[in-house]
Amino acid sequence: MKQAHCFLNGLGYGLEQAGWDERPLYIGAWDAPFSVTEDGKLTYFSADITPSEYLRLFTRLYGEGAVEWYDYGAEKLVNLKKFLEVLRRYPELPVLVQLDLFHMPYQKRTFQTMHQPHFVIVHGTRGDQFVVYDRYFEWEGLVAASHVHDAFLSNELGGGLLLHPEWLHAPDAHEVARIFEDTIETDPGERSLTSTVRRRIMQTVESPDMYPPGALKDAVSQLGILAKRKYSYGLLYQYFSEALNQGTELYQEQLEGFIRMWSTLAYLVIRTSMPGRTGEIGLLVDKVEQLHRTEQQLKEELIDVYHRWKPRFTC
Amino acid sequence: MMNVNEQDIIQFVIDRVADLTSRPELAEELNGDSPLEDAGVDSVLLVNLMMQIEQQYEIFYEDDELLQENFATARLISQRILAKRAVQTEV
Repeated sequence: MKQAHCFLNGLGYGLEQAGWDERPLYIGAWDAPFSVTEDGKLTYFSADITPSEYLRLFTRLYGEGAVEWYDYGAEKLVNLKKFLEVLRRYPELPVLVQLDLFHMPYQKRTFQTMHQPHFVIVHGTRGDQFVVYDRYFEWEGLVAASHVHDAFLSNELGGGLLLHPEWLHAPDAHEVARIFEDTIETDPGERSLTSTVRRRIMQTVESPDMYPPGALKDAVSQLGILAKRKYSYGLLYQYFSEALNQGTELYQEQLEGFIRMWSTLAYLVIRTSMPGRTGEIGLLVDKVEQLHRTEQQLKEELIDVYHRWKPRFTC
Repeated sequence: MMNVNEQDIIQFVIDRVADLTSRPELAEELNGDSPLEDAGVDSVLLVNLMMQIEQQYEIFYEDDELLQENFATARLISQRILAKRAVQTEV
């Protein structure tokens, strides 16, 4: 399963345990919400972004198999106590929890260097260690309880669910169709990633006092994480295509190229933010336009395969 | 164009990484196959490194080469530099 969205990848663990296809869960994850801070930094997390919408989608598709135990109104220590209590009472069930990657030793890029909220699954304990499944980073193993406690307490946000795989059911094709159609008809418009990045780049030209070119590199520092959400197009394309016995190689290749383009854009933006490079801003805008066109094409191909899938599986 | 070999370039890259991360001990600790991301090279440092390499080895990275996987280790960087310089010499 592709790294697409850590919260959804975590819910997907519960579905995998239950033996259900998790791909419908990624409908719309290509336009998952993100924030822009006051100083113009694009960020995948903020207090305004809660997983409630995804939880509703999960319930519509698979039933009431995820129970929220985290209390957003309570203190961190109170929530840590709740987390440990949930683990103690349900040692056989997977627990989805948001932690700070700063304290997670297996993620060398961020360990002791960078604070980043991130959802993982804790599925039981072994002595003083927690059994951690991080599907987003394709890692599983034991993490010392002290690291997990620190990662819980230092996390600037929070969140957690108890998953009951045995309560879940297979997704109904009619429900998949309804959700897909509702989602695809919703045009993210100015809230899309391409529009937001284009607007942020133009702010450097239009209001350089407020948005100096040097700040562009910080603005796009999480672009790689946001771009990975676009892998969700491929998961849905594969879901519909497989049912039709149709190959997906070409689509997946186009999608990989599209996500590489985002990565290239991030590097180009950082390069443009270096002194004496602001003349390259026009090139950045061209790249964003190119990304927009490619995304529209990928979306149209996904809609096309969906229209071939629908009459065969929802009648 | 100056003559360079893979080991020279690897050492250059490692020295630059030690400098850019402000961790001089990395000059001794890293080798050609050490993942640079694990050494703390984030995307901003990587772009700085790319620009220093372009200047040092008189090459230019095309847009489609600007991918983390092409700069994952000093050896991969070195091999790409040598390949690019070989093409330039042919031309």
